[in-house]
Amino acid sequence: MSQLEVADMVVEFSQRRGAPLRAVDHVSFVLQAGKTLALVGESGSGKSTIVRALGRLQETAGGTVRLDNELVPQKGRALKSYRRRVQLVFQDPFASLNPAYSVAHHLRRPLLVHGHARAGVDHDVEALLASVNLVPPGEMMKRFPHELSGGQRQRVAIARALAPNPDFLLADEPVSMLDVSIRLEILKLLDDLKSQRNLALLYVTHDLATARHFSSEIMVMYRGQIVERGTSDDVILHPAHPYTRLLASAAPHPERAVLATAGGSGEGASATGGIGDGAFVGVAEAAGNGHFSSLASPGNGPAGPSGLLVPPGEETVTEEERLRRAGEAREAATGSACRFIARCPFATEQCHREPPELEVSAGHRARCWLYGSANVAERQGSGARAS
Amino acid sequence: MSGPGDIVLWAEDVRVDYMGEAPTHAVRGVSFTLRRGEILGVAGESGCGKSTLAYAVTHLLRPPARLVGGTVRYWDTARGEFVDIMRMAPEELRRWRWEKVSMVFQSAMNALNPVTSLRRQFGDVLRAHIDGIGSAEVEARGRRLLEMVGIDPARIASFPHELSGGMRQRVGIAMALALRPEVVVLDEPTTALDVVVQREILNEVRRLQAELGFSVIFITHDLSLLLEICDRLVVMYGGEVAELGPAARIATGAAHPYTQGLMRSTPTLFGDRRELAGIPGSPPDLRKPVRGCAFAPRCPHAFELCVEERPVLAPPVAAGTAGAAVLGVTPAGSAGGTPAGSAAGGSTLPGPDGRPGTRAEWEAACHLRGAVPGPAPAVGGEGGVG
Amino acid sequence: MSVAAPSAPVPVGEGPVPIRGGLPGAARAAAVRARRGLRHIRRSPRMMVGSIVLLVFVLLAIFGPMFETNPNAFVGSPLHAPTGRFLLGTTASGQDVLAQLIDSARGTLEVGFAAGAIATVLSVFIGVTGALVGGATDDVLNLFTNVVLVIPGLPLVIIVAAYVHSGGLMATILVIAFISWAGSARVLRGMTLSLRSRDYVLAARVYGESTWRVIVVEVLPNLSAIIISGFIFSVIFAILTQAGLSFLGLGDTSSMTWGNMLYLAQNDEALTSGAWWWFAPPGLCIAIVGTSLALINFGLDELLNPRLRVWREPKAKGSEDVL
Repeated sequence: MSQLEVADMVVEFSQRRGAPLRAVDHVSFVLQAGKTLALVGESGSGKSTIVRALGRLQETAGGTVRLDNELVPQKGRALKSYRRRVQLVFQDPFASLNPAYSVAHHLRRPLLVHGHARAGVDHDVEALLASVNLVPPGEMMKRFPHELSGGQRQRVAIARALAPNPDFLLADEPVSMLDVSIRLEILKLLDDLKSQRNLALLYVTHDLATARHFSSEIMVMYRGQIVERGTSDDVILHPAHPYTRLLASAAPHPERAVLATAGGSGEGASATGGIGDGAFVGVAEAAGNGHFSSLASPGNGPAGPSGLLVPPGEETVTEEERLRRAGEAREAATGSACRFIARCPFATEQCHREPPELEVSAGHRARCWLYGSANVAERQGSGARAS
Repeated sequence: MSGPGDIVLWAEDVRVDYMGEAPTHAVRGVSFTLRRGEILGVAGESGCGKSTLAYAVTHLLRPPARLVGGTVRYWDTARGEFVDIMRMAPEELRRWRWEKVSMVFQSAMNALNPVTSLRRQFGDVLRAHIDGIGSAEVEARGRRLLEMVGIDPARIASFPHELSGGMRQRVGIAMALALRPEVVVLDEPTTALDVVVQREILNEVRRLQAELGFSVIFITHDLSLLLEICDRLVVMYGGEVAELGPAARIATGAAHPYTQGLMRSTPTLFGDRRELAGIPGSPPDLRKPVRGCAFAPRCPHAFELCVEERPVLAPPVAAGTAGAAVLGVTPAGSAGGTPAGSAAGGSTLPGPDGRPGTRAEWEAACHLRGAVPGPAPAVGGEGGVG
Repeated sequence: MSVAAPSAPVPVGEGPVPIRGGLPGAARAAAVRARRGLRHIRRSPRMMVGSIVLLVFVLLAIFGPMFETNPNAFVGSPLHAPTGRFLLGTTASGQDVLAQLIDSARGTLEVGFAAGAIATVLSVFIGVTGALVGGATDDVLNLFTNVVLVIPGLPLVIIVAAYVHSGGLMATILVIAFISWAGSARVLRGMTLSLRSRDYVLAARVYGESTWRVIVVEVLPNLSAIIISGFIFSVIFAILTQAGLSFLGLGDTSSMTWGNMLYLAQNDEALTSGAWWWFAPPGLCIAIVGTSLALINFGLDELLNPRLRVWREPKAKGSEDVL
């Protein structure tokens, strides 16, 4: 069984002044055949850097990558077999194909590089196109990128990644640039290919919903660190780390609108089609606990008083409010403190020491002191904010 | 006081072409009304004409885009009548824009001038519209506006590049609100932002809207976001309105197969894992004339009529009829649908005095609705709103 | 993701384009590109006019001398105004100005295109290699480029030209080429740096394509527009510089160029004696060739950047969109 093991990966970018910027800070995970691992985070969290480092497009400053227990080098000839087995799908389907060449060129080259005979290569190109549902393949291979729609381009990019017949596919936000109606088709294609070819899939995304639906496990990344990991249902339905809770509460919830107009009646909720009661429990848990309603102020409907940060008419905003709202603040890493400390409503003295990954439940871990053994007991009561 | 039915903006049969060797019919006959104090969402995929529509109703189209048909009327409170924005004199138009209708663009970085401070940019906006405004007043107003959108007033001396993406977008909103307009058009204001920042901006918009009472046209490709924040929703496909109605109603039972497809395409975060399906195929090529329903090639329910005849906007049929059965529409009740609406043929019927006539609250442009012979039955208040 | 600005043609119809059957693989690709190129040229009037004018001069330079008598032969009375026999009159020594003009076209274009070509090769080599190899090589090449860039061009040319006075046309070509490559090298370096991190280049690296293949196959074709545009600018620069040098008497007087004609006309006081037929034609020719090249460049810009494309209103019914 093939597996790709990443241990303590560190990636740093040198800066003109000062210490290098650590984009990936001691990240470890394992990709296994036939499974999808989702890596969730916002822009700048370092998730794309991990993909680039695994694609050996970016040198790592520390840690190891092992492919079936063999150490993978940073560069050089020894990478060739690794390159065959690990392939990337990029985010932007408009940038990932060379405008100067036809579709056929994009698929012929990887085949030839990995030792395919020149004779019969077009036959295999057609087979690849068919495997990503680009039909008729004979015509598709003659087209140029500008003659394809976004979804079709992404299919070509996936076919190119499949050309060396890899065991691992790293998909860096493969659908975020596509139209909503196209996204699921592409994700389903990736999912089907994973099952058919027994691929190990790393699905990098900022979208919690698709992460949950298409992966068995989720890792949440915040400023270079994995802050939470576990099975997808554990992480989404019972988010442990305050950051994951914030993310979950910030995602669009169309069901809220329904709830608001239906006057909160049970009937209105059941009419949303497939949104069970559990969903609202989830929203309530993640959003309505009083801390997050002020942090991210998830809408309780325009009329809900807690949805308003400032009462109407009062135009001045207190310093405290402003601090709480500055969610995009990317303040410099504060030494050894928890990275989330500035935005965390639960922050305590303890959080000035960096928390290790602590177990929330079996297979579900969070990098947060809330789950330290000393805190578990008193966690219910300790909502006190540090500031 | 505002127009009949509290209407502030009334677009009727708007048509926009992008000129060129093969003109692209980007917007093909779109009608809608915007009411005072509501958030109207415009949803659709890239190339469906939603942004073009926004530029058309704010009279901001630039060649090669051209308004080739239709009217956009604005309710002039002072005069107590509708004014055709296409017939405004240049000076009147200049004042109308930003004093009455303002816009927040997708990329605030592009909308803000990178080489001048926020102070000067606020000054430019204010001085262009308020005669004889002094520097002290500009400063005070600029600070107040920044404060209003949750930015430290001291930041007024900053340059756009010194702000984060979310803050820039907040500044864009502050600029749009500088003259207290009645309508604010938001064109994909959060697309480039992270989820958490997006949420903050959305809350900011809702809070300000509740405080100041302006109307919002919110354009985005993200249907689930619109369903959550909008009062009413226009779903566009191939330059036309596919469905138009209260967000809550569309959320519970979208009538148009395209809207249904979009809903199926967006997995819910906490819901059960269900079989998810996108919409196969790709949007129509609007350089070519579209015969029949633009969505027909991708529609799972399409039949002959769909290919041949263009469907008109009409209230979705009630339960029990053939069309609804096929669609699985759950008619959660429709507020005040009138038979007049079904005859509108995709345009707002002018009333006796040149004002928008009564129309159905919820409409879809789909032949399935008319699967039953005869005119579409009126759907009226069987469920009622809670 | 919709990024359509109001002025940009919305990529609405970017749907599938029907496939024309026929040639296989690369041949078909080349044919498609050629056909597309032709169509583009026809679409841009500037490109069209520029190309036609340049083509006329190139044909003149190639075939003209075959039909002309020896341009240096003394064939008529000195300083004679244009007549039926000498369409552009004669020089102070009684040479046919038209014959000289046609012969000079060859020399001038030779200098222009040769110097342009050498400058372009230099700029591609130095700019692209530096950006792709990176590291110390890039630093050195970049420093070299910047140094050449800040050396004032014309004085250097004058000094070097004066020094190698007897070097003939080749010396002029080399000097001009040497001072004119740096600008495009910088542009190419910047562009290559941006192309280097494009996803399709990264993808090629991920599937194990060798570095040189990445450069030649994936990167260079996408620089072709800039390279061509840089080449055209170098040609213009070379023609003007050569004319300037010759006019100052620093050129190679043994070969015929328009610049030399101007120099000789000036020497023999054609200007003061009102012999416009002697100095006006070479001057005009330089201006026209320069303009045609510039038009081609503008046309190229226009074709590559749709935003610059001029949209002409077809007899508007009403000016609804006046802002």
